[in-house]
Amino acid sequence: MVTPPSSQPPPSRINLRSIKALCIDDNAQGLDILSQTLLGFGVDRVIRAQSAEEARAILKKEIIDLVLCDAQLADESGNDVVRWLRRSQMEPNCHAPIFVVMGHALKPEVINARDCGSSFVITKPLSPAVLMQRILWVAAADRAFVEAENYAGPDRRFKFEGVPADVPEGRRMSDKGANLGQPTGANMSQEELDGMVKPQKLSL
Amino acid sequence: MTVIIRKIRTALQREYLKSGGIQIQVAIDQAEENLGSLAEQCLDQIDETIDLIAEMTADPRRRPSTSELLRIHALVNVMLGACAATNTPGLVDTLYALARLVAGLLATDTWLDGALTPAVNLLRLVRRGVLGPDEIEVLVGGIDQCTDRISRLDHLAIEP
Repeated sequence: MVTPPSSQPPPSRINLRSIKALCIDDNAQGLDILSQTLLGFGVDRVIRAQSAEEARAILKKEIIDLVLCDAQLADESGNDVVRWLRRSQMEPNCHAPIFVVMGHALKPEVINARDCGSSFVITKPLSPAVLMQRILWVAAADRAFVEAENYAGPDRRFKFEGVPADVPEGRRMSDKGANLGQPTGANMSQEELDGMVKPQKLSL
Repeated sequence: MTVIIRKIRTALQREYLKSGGIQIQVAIDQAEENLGSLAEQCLDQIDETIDLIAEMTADPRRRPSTSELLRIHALVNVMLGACAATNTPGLVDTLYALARLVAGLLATDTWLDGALTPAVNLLRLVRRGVLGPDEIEVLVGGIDQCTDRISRLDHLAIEP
């Protein structure tokens, strides 16, 4: 189960100075919008790519901590770039948070966006407040990274609101109630428990 | 089928709470200020793009080709992106209505003469700021009705 980040108090400050971000958009003005937003957030190192090809070359060469990508690039879909990166096994870049910025999407592109492995899809026009909210969410969330035959990316099942009413036995392993067996021995003493949890000094 | 589930701590998770940062509200304000400096050039781009779409749809009797419709759809999305730096009331709603209309046309072969003309004209008026919010709402609703009509016409066309 994913811990909902909303359960933690939101931080009042953010430090993105050491983050290296990549902005991808085939439109120069779109690129200005993405990079100026991040510069405003205090990100000092913003790299810009105006095509999928350029983005791939940068991602192969540099360590990138955060990606902002437009969904519609001239040469291909931004979602395909995300899918490529997630499948690339180029660590740590393949696990970096990726935000896809999307306007109106045609039907196949909506499915592509859902399955490409982005951390979040943000609708246009990009608002700094919304982007900040998403960055804070992704930074605070304890989302697992899933690699399967048809999908690589952050766990999409983060809106865990309990077992669905129409599937009482649940869909996930963790939905099922755990069956505890009978105790097989005597309870541990307090000393034994302390020995397990207290840090021990070790001299070699 | 193998599914690997891993917990990964990214650089963003490691760094974002480190000392020496800035207030979140200050960060948002700085970003908005930066975007404000792009407003003029973004409005110019929106104007140029509206002119380009108007040229592509100048003949109301001609259905734009699929590649032209895809181009118009992409241009609408570029304008939606540029709206991040501008604050023109109703422009985002009008652009989304036009995008829905173009998507409706892409899903069908049918064509109503001048199907795109009212949306393009509305875009110009909204950009100039000559319409009030109520008028924009009604006119955007009209574009959506046109989108519905086109999808219904297509439905009728394929029925035996």
